[in-house]
Amino acid sequence: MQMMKIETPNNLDELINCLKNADSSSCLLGGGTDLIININNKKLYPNTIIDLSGVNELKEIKKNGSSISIGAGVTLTEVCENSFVKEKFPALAQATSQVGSTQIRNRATIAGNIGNSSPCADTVVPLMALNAKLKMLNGNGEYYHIPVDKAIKGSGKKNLKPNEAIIEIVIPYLKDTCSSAFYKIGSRKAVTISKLNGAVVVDINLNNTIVNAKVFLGSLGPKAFRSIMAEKVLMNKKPNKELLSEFQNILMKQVDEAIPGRGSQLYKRHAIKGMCEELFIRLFGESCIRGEI
Amino acid sequence: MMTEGNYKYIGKSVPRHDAIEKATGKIKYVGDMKVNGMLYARLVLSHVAHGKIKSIDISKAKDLPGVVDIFTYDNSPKILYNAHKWMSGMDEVLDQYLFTDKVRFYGDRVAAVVATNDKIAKMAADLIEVEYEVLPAIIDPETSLIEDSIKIHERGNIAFSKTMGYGDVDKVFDKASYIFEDKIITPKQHHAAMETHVALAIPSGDMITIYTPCQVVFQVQLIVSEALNIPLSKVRVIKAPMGGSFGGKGQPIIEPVCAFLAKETGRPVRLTLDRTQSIIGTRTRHKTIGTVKTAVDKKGKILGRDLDIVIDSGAYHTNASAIAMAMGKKFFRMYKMDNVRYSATSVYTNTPVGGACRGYGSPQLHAITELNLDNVARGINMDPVEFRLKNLVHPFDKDPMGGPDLGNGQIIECVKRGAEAFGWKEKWKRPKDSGRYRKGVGMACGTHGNGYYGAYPDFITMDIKMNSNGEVILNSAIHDMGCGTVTIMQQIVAEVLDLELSKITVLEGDTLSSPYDSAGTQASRVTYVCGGAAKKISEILKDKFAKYSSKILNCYEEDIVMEGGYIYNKNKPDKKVGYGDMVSNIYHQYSMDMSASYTYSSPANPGVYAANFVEVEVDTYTGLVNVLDIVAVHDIGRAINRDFVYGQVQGGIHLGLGMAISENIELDENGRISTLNFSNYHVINAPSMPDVRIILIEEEDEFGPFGAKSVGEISAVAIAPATLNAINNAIGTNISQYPATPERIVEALVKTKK
Ligand SMILES: Cc1cc2nc3c(=O)[nH]c(=O)nc-3n(C[C@H](O)[C@H](O)[C@H](O)COP(=O)(O)OP(=O)(O)OC[C@H]3O[C@@H](n4cnc5c(N)ncnc54)[C@H](O)[C@@H]3O)c2cc1C
Repeated sequence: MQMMKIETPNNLDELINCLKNADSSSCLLGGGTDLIININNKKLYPNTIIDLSGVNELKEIKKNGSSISIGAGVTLTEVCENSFVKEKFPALAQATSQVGSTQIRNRATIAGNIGNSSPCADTVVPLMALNAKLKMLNGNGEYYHIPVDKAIKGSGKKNLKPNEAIIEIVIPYLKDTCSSAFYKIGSRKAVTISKLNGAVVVDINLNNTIVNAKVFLGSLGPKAFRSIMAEKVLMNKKPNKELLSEFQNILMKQVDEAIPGRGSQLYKRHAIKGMCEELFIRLFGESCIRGEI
Repeated sequence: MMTEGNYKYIGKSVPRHDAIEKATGKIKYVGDMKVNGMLYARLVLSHVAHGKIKSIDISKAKDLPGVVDIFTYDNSPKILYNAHKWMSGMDEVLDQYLFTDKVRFYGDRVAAVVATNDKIAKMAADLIEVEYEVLPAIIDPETSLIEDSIKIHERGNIAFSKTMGYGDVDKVFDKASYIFEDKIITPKQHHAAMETHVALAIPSGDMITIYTPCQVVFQVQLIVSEALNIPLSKVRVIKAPMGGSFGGKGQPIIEPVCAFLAKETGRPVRLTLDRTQSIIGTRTRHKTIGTVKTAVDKKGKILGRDLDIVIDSGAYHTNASAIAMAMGKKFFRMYKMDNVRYSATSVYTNTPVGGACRGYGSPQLHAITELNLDNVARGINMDPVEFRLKNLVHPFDKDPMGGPDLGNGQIIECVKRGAEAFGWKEKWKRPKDSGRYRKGVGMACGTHGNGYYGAYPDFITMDIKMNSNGEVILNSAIHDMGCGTVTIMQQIVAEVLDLELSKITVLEGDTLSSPYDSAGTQASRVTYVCGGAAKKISEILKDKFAKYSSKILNCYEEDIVMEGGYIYNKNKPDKKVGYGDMVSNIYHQYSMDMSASYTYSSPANPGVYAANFVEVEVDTYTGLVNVLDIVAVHDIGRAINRDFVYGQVQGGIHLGLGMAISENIELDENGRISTLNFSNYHVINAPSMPDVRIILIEEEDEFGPFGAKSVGEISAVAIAPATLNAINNAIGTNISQYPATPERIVEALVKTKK
């Protein structure tokens, strides 16, 4: 039996050293809620595991001048219970609060969710919609930022080198007129892998008109993607029942384009209507779709 | 009238005997047991659904340090057996080996590795390379009915078939003005016990001792003895703490393998299955496809019923015949009808093997028939509750097929009480929702049995003794599955002998020291039959104790009072003697031991009944079902321990809800299974589990202990059809395949719109 080496860096400098020696058979360990399962299922047998849990610098949520940064070691529970995140980035708070179970959220990290690169990863969709960047660190001691999308190849493959690690997730503040929402549909209420997930960020002016919209969808292909056609439908409109039905129709079309002929197409094109409605309720309130606005 | 027994122990909600050990993690399950020199075993299961094994390359696995031995069909006994056989003399189809050279399903047993630790055993199992000559597979049971070019077993693909009934069914269907026909499919379901299958076998001399969380120690002993060709006396089976079974550990699946590995290596061996292996490689609830026809008159009287059911036995026979018979029997014991026909055909397929699963066919039978009844009611524009009330059996009706009497069956009362508590009338008449979320209501009735009387020998021998401390020991081959059997027996003994529970020790099954029991924990027989035995033998001991005590106390036997551990002459209440002291006196004065042994043979097998009422809310966009309310009414006879009964009902509902909306072992056309663990085999989890409002009808049964009847299996019978009826009611569909997954619901909605 081949031995597995566990590295336990205690700070960023030690992490750099570990990354320096990392190769394709090394793995970073966040909460381990994907990695350990993959090792147990023998999908993966790393020679070296670099355990990030000792790196204290990665355990903070920091407010900067124009952005918030979430350390790679922050658990999903900490994210979804953070009052600033809840207030400013409801889409992310909602997504992180709906990942797995309490036990999973107590261990799992956003960095791991990105690193796992599953097509239905729940935190990826809002991060993309929120235009988040990843602060990276590599074995040469270099720090740099990349967009979330660039870190993910798709279908469970990440697009990161063995010698680089996500150390922070950086999300720029939104204008005060913006709001965001996330919703997922799985096969049951809780502890469920998404069959559909989506996040929307909108900017609404004083006239109650949507002046900017970002729509991202997950679980409809190798990785989450932007739905420009859906954004167009929302632009310069007032949120109401009619707009909801336009939004539903365009996303049904988006499903048809994303997964034509798939066994799940019929279900997803129908179920996405429910997701649209929930997103609208979360963004604009229950009353907007009951025709009371 | 409900009889309020004036009991001290019966009906009380005392905690189970091992609650503290379990809650504190101190209890030792087999997976926690370690003995000196113990080896660890893992199985290699087939990854094709049908094929001949061309070669097995064990070289890489053998080279792994720590691997002790590897076994396949090449170096194991070629003795056919059937793990379903629980008693000698049962004539069963023998079609399974310890290890096979022809795999018949994705999950069939190919090899076992024994190693010095569990990790190595697992790794080695993965290194074994099996080459197959892949054969075409039959996955759909209906294909199996007609396909004879693919032979799963030499004897053909029909495992069993039987038609029974009475009256003139064809004539009724010729004449009837209303006939409703449905074809309904029920899924293969995994038992999902928290503890996966595990056994520990310890050889010493020519004896093998097996610790196993099993349901029938004497069945394990018998099967090990037959499969390994060793005498019964050389196999000792001890029932270990059970981490859940629900029928899944009823048949000895891994015990003969584990015993063989221990025998061959000469060392203790613990064999463990992982979740995937427990899902695919043990037993499942049988999938069924039922075509049911019901003829009614205008007023809603059922004139005749005809059910043709195909039962998917999977790759081996096991209980293919017993399950068909068990379902058939229930078919005749629910509604009064003059013309009934039941035809069942069990077929082999290249799919996971069927076996006992909580309800033993009753959940499938009722899933089919009760769904059809709602369509009948809808068709004749009648409230389904009224329709059922017109046709249900009455207390003390006879079995029209000549089976055991139905006894004091309270299904009508169940339906009436349930309908009232649920608010059925108002909810049924409520205008239908038309928005995204739609509420609906449904109900269903169910029946099950109380043991094997009328079908198989149903008896148990119990030994009881009282010691000179006034403590009682009850020795018999009972098996506590986690439902509180030990405590139930304590309560029964306590009530008869008027002795506190802490003074009563109840032993569980050990083939070496337990007296014989004919059938184990199966067929909802434990409280009814074994509990009946516990009551009877306690009475025998009581009489014996009273007889000798009366001599010592110099009074009439009738004047003897036993109360809270003290015995006395009722005319001299100030002269109380502790039970223990009296036992001592009897030793000295009469050279007599206060013990007894008795073989209790069940005198009856009444029906138990339940009615379930369900309200759901269906999200017409996502197809997700939210179960809002459940009322479960049970004809229990008498609850021995009220909380245990509630626990059983909650658990049965949980399992049945899974069957209704989410649980299904999914196979593709090649027989490959995709639901390999709980990430996509979805049991109902806590956030989705509704409260269950439970109502007990306690009309005592004539023969059950203190009037008690069974609840463990009946609790899982009516919920699936009640739920699907509610879903169909909510959204105006006729979904006839369980489970009603979001995808099936959406598909049905899309279809009905067109
Ligand atoms: C029961 C259960 C339920 C689940 N439910 C959901 C769900 O609802 N939604 C969902 O999206 N996911 C779900 N998951 C998957 C998983 O929990 C998430 O993907 C989680 O966010 C992974 O985080 P982690 O910290 O545990 O990652 P780990 O398992 O530690 O790592 C995952 C991958 O990311 C890499 N990685 C970790 N940290 C870094 C880093 N700092 N930089 C670069 N790469 C890194 C690892 O090398 C590995 O490849 C579930 C898992 C389980 C077991």
